[in-house]
Amino acid sequence: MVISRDQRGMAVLMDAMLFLVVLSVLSAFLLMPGNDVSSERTNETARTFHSVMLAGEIPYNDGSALSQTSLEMYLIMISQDASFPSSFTLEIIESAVNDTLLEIKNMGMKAWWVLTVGGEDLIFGTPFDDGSLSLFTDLRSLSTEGTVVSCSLTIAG
Amino acid sequence: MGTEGVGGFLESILGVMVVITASSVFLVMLSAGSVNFLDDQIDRSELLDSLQMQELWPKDGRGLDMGYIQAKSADEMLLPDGVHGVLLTYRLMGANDTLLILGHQPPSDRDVVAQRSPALLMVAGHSLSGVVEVQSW
Repeated sequence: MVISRDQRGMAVLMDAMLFLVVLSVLSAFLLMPGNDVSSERTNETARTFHSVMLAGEIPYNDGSALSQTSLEMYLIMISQDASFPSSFTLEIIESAVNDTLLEIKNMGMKAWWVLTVGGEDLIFGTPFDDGSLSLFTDLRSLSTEGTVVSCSLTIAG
Repeated sequence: MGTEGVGGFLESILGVMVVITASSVFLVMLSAGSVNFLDDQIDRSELLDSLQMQELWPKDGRGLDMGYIQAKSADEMLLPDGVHGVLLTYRLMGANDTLLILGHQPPSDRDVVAQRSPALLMVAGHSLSGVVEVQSW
């Protein structure tokens, strides 16, 4: 009688142990904050900052139509021009980009922007790629006709 | 529950295991933020939805009209349940100076939740890249 009760007790204990271990592992697995959360957040940061940067007007205040042109439109205009952007054009682009890079830097992240015109890369900001941080890039292709222009904002975080 | 023989001993161990496991599960839930004891915890998404509806927070890349926001009073703002007040700050990208502040200063005795987002700001007919920050309590 006692032996039978002990055997049943052992079986119940084993079942209970298995159940509790599975329950613990499952709860830990389901509730543990995933690494994907911060990755998604940084990806979203790159996307939203890049969108706003491209939609913002370029800092060029001479009263002409150009002074109300968004950076995106300005880059499309560049793509329609067969020649490589002049230093004056690059200065305008740089001043339009720097504020965004500074803002992201103030948030404690490293960021840089790459403009690719006709296969040649123009880098704004300081690239950081020593492998210690994950890189999140938002890439846009802006060309319609003519020279292919693409740009990418990369955040290391 | 019987206490005779090895069976009773095993049942005691089982009871202790149940308590330990329940505590572990609770601690995991606590560390994951699924359980909190703050009654006035602010639901960020609900707050941002409310601000978007009032055109005070960027949505779908649309610009925020600074003229419209400037004309708005802090007391007109509709806040979701659990939010006692907000302070909205609008400024140009990379700048320290603010373009516009809407709301009241947060009280020093409350926990403040802050959120920031890039936003296209419409200022005097110009679309400028900027940042909006909200502090809520």
